[in-house]
Amino acid sequence: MAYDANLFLVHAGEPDKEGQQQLEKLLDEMQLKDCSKVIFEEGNVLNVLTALSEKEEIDLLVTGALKKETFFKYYSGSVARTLARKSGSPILLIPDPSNPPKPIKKVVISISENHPEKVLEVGIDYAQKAGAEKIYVVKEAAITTSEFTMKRYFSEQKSEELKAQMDAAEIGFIQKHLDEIPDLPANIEMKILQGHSGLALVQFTKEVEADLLIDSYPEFKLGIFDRIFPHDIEYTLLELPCKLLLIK
Amino acid sequence: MASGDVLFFLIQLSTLLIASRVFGEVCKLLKQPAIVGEIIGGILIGPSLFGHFFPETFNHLFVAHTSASVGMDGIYTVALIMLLFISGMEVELPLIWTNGRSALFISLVGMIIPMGIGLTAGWYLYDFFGMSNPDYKITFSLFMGTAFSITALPVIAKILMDLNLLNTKVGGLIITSAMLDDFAGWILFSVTLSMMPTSVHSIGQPTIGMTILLTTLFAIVVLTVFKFIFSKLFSYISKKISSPGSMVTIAMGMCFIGAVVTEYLGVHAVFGAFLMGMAFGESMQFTQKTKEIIHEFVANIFAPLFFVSIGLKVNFVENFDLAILMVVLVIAFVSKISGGFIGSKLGGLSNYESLAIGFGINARGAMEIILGLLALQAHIINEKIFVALTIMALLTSLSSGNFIRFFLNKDFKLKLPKNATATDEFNVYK
Repeated sequence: MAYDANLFLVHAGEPDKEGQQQLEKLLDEMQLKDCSKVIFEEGNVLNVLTALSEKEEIDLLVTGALKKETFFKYYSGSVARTLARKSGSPILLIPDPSNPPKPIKKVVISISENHPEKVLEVGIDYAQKAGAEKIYVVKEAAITTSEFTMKRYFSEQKSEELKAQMDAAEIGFIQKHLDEIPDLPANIEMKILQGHSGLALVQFTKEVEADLLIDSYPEFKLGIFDRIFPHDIEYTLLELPCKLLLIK
Repeated sequence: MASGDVLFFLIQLSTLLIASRVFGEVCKLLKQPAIVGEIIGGILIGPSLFGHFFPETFNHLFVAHTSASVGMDGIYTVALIMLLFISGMEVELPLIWTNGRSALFISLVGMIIPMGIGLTAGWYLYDFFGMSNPDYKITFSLFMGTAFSITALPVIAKILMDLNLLNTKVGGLIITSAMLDDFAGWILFSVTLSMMPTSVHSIGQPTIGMTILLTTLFAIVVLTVFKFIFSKLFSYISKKISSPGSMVTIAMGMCFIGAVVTEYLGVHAVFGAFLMGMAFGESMQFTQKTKEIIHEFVANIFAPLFFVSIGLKVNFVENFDLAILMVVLVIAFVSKISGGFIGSKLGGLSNYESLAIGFGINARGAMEIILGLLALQAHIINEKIFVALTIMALLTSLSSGNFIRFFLNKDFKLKLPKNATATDEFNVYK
């Protein structure tokens, strides 16, 4: 309701009158009946959702997802994860749905060279509307500072200086985009992450026990090869650390 | 080990550790890579100098006590395995395809050209390099191809950090290409080792094809199923134990198991450790903190011990051959720089940027020395070639930074507008 959006509740499969009635009753109780529509459609889930997204110009797909997939499911691709990889629409994956919904207190927004201004704008707006108490805006270092190189070739003081120098350039990137956002909330903290691209983000999200991770929709089409050698968003899909919102 | 042997084992250990630290620190003060100091330290206390002037004392300290030497050899092997484990940990293969076609061209052409030239040189200059057994000619040629195509990641990262270029487009391309070259280089070397006519395979006498097939299977299992199983297992373990130190113990245990498997399959133990490092580097529960602990003791204890030991094992004065060194240097510089240059041009970079990248991936550093030592131990090469390869590794590493700076300055002057500021200088290469 906070977003003033129309809600489509989609079930792909055999028509189920009983289920439809239950859903409509639930929507009535939640006072969402006027702004929502229940759709039961036969066919493949992915095809149904993709077609509906295009037809109704859906702004956001919301779907439940397992926190972790089984080995074969992960490599073959589950519905939720395939949507995240290929649907082409912004998507919110909810790994642990609960009633009442768990409040969103900590949000991690990850920005990269992939349309950072849009991710920040939408991400901060979403986090504020969700009532987040803390927003981390993070960027993964373009190239990880090799710890081995640091320890082998530089003194501790020099290592710290070099790290600070490289972090400063990345922080400047975040700050530049943050400065363009009007009415910036005060509860924002910037952070530069070191490590494998994507992996460092998930590790940080787990470390701060974030409730929501906001990232950009993958730039490239992701395939089986990206699951064997995971990078970027694939690490998040490997093990969802919390709710995941992908912005396009 | 008898009491006397324990005494000499400890004397050797402490001498090498202190020598490596002292000479390494001197090089750091001179803004040179620590590895240069460590190898020089080894040469000074080894047979080349100390052993030459004080042969009796040298023999008494480092040679006569067989058990102590065997113990030290065990430590060097562990050091080598751990060096390769952390090398694997730093490999991030997806960078190749996320960095676009430039990285792919630089990596591939930057490997194929030196590989081709090295292989040809190994084949046609077999006698010139002092090799005589015709059975080893193919293996030797393959090794030379691999040796000239390899690149060392840590020293390149150091050079780029010195130049403040790590987070730039050129820096990223050099690092990415070095990663792939590293990965491909170890695969090629493993294949080469399995082709050795005298290599004893623990599983009987499998054909070369069988060894390659089993090793490939093992690599696939480690990088897929293993990663998945251990992610689950680590997830469980991390809830039961809190200390990152416990993860270090498990990682090291798995590193040695990986080493055991590849050694058993007839390729060197280091390849298994390298693969395990790759798998652990991508593991969710393997945090930066855990990685830092491993880096700390490998960088400060095992790596210096390994590099200082090289000067102790080989007599650099007796085995110095200027003709071989010159040929190795010419092939190394020409093949790698031209490979990097052509790859960069195909990737759409300017002439000066391409030359800078060519010199960047020319730094062979520690990887070349490790590769050379393993080849020496496997009798693929002789000591004269090893000495030439070691000097080449050091010279290419020492010269890279200056050439990168020189060519990027030229490129910078071409690209920067006349009213540019200091900030623009950084952004030019972003």
